[in-house]
Amino acid sequence: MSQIPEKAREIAAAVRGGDISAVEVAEHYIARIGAVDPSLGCFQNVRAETALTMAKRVDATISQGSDPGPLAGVPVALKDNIMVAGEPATCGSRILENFVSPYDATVTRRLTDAGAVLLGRTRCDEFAMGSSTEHCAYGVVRNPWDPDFVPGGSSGGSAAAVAAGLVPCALGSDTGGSIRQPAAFCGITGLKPTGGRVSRWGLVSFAPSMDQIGPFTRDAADAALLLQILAGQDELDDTSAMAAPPAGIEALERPLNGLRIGIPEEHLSADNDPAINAAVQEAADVYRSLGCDVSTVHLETTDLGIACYYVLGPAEASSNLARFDGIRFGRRASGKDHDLEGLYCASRSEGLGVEARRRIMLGTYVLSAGYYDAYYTRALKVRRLIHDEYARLFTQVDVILGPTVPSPAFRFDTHSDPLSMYLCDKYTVTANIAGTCGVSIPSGTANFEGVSLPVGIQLQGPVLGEDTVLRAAHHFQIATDYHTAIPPITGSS
Amino acid sequence: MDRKHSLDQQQVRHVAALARLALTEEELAGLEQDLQAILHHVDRLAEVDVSDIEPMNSPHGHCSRLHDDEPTEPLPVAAVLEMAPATEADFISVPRVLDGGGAA
Repeated sequence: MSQIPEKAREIAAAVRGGDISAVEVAEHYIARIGAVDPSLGCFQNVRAETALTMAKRVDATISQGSDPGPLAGVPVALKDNIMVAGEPATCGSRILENFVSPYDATVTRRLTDAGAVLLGRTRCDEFAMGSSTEHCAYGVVRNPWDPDFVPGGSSGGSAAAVAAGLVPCALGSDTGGSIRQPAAFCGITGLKPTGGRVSRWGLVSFAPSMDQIGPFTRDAADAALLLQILAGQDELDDTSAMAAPPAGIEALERPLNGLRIGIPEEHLSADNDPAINAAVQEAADVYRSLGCDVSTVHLETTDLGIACYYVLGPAEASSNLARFDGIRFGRRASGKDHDLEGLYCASRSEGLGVEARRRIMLGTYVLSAGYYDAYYTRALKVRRLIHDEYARLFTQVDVILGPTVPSPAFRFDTHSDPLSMYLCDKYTVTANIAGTCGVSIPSGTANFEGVSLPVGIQLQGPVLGEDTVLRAAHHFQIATDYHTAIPPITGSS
Repeated sequence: MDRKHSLDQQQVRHVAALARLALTEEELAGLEQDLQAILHHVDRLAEVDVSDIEPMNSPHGHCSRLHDDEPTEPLPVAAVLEMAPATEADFISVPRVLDGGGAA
């Protein structure tokens, strides 16, 4: 078998050029998953036969002289909360154990229309609620850098699969950091596009004012390629943005001279792991050497982010998850002697896990009579303050640089206290609250109790500012080689 | 500062009923503790001056729009029924709700 390239754009070029077949590519990755994934647990399921059928179709298109598209033969894994017609989408929950999607998500259709080969579904925290993928009903995912550590979450399966080379790219969803945080923990590139940039049709809703689908890739150039395919207005999602499409890979090359980069003082907290703050300072030096104007700025609302998010997110989640009642789809409690309300309660209590219940309870409380204004309305007002502070800052700088997460990956069972887990997302939630975009890219490693773990930096941009943050990420990846580091788990393949 | 809104066991029970969750005493006690801690953190929002600030329901202001009022193809009835855990003919079956409800 010829050498299979590791980046999505290289695979597509090789398949379109006839250097390798899509079937060879699919077989390579299926074999690698078979060899490596039993020790990691990234995949909820691998659709080997369907993937090979899709790959054969791509090869047939090429042999007929047609172009299968910009992702010709590129294997992609989807987080298990994104629908593929006729296939399960468990969302990491027992309540959807036997659910079969009745239609394709818009991103599913866009990927397959572009010639991608859907390889399988990756594990996530239940209903995308979590920062460690410890809250998946079907098993945890292990960090490829060290199996005693979590991969981050909630899109931990997608992040770990890309980091371990089980797939060249994968999709996740990010409501408060669920793409950027696991990308940082696993040492890969993870993009949360602007709210509305990518259609949410067919993404199982958690908090629709903040949910956004985005790619995990080996580098920023692949993220730009994926975003160009995923982005765009969709009649099926009224919140999808009517906007000029992203500029794509070619536009990444333009030099960074004069780019204004701000580092919020509030993001370099003394509570961060020292290696994290050092990585941000080192990145600042890299950007200065690339001709950027790097300055210290302020985001004074940073410390309000988690408080605001844990009102708005649970409030939206409690409303959205009300649909899981055992009636129209999903698990129904087995007892025969329930009345209707008892059936709702029993089905939900049997089917929903501990973190999903916690958020439903919190959301129900902040929306309940007597507390709605004190919590929900107040959080919506603070949201505007956070949004307005971002908007003002983006008149002064083009990109905000800072840590993605306050620390590297942690060991399993570290955060038994939910609030301490929530606080891991303090630098990522504000972009979801404000609807802006951000990317996490690898920026070296930290030694944690003798283990070498990846560190991520976050580049944030304004609404529809993906071209700029990806260009900044791309030039960092030309100037450094952190993104080429490979985790020690290689399997027998 | 003191907690502005403290939550007691009776409220937790009430919220669980609103959320249609049947929880054990142990689960209720655990949730009371968790929610207290989270709400204590959330209390920092009460210290922010939000006078004259309009609530922001969604940041998607750049793209919200209305559809043309034209019918589109819904999911086929068969596909909907296939997802339902219990059906009878072309209906989704549920426990009896008339005549006082009770056993199905």
